[in-house]
Amino acid sequence: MERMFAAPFLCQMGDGHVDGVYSMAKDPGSLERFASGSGDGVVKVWDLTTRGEVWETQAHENMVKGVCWTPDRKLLSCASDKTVKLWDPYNSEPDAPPAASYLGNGAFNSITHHRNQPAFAVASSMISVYDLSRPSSSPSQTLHWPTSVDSITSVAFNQTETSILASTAIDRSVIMYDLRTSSPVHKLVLKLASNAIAWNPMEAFNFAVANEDHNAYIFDMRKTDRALNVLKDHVAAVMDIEFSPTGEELVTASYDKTIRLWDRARGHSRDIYHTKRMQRYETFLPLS
Amino acid sequence: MTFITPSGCNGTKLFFPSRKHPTNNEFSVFSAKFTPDSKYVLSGSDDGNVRLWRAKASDRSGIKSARQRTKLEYDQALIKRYSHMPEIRRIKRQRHLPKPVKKAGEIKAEELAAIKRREENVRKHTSKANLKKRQNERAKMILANEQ
Repeated sequence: MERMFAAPFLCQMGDGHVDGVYSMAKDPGSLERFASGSGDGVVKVWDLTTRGEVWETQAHENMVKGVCWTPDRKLLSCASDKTVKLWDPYNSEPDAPPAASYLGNGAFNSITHHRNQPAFAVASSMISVYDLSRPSSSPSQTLHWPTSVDSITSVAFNQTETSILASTAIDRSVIMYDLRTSSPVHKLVLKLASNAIAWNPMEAFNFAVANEDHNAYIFDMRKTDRALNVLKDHVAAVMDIEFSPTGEELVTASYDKTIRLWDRARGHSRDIYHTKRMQRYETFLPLS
Repeated sequence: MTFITPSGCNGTKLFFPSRKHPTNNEFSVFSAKFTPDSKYVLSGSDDGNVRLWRAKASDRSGIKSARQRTKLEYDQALIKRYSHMPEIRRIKRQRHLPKPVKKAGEIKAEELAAIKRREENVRKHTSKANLKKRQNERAKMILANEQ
């Protein structure tokens, strides 16, 4: 009976983007707002209740690689054009100029905001931590593993143990940093590179990585010689991973065109959603 | 009018400006997020669409009467009670997959089985002195840990 009523797909948001959506972020202070960044440099803010677009801007010149919200409900976006820009979607018109912009040395791949301090970290070939309260556009500190040079694909602040920062890089490493000593603490090298990292919001020391070898791994930060769990089911590289706010479930996005939902403690996915049904749906839309 | 854009590893695709969506039917998903109430899942894919999904496929968000709630709980209990039975387990686990994903899964399973079989054969024909310890599945992918 439960399977008979299974209808996971609800809708698509507004008209979507013109180019691919490569980054999304939800507003931690709101249940219905989230932002998405696209391959053509456009950042849009969506409303879940109306399922429509509420704000839009041509934020960057090329691919927006990361977006995140600050605790005071402003939006940060970083892109491969070496800039980070601060936006105010709640109080400004669409296409308004950015409230601030920060320049970097390399193309940025990912951005994350500190839980309570006005600081954010962006990843290029190293991690630069910027202070939002200071007007200067140069980083207040930079972090990198002494021997690593490859570009860092994703970075995430721990939201409970707030000065811990973790990153994944193309050189297959997962590195943890501590802001208090402003130094890297631990490096874990896997067989293949990881694409994304997410901290468990309830168990501060656990994190999950989305790996190129079709699996996702959950690790304990304190004991990384063994994974807590291996999530096996995808048939292509896993591109993104996130814990549910309860920390009990995970969602992964994959290159095999599906998203999968997982129980934290089980090795195989609870459910798989794919866009086939969607595509059929789209053909019924009136073409403008 | 059509034009071609290079797009990542998916190769080139034909775009029809009058129709927003390219002609081939599916796209990689690059981003997935839970909504803060963990009832829904958002996905952002290569074709530029942001999609909203239910986190529990058969869940409905409307207000339920006490009777409906009891019924749902009872159904869950029944599923839990009988999920060891092959018929029930099959229904519980079966999902419709797009053909390429299903095919890729089958090929992957076959290849993994072949690798495993080969390793076992090698082990069978290795003397006990040279036999390496089996590696834990959860530690296999770790190459190094540096402080």
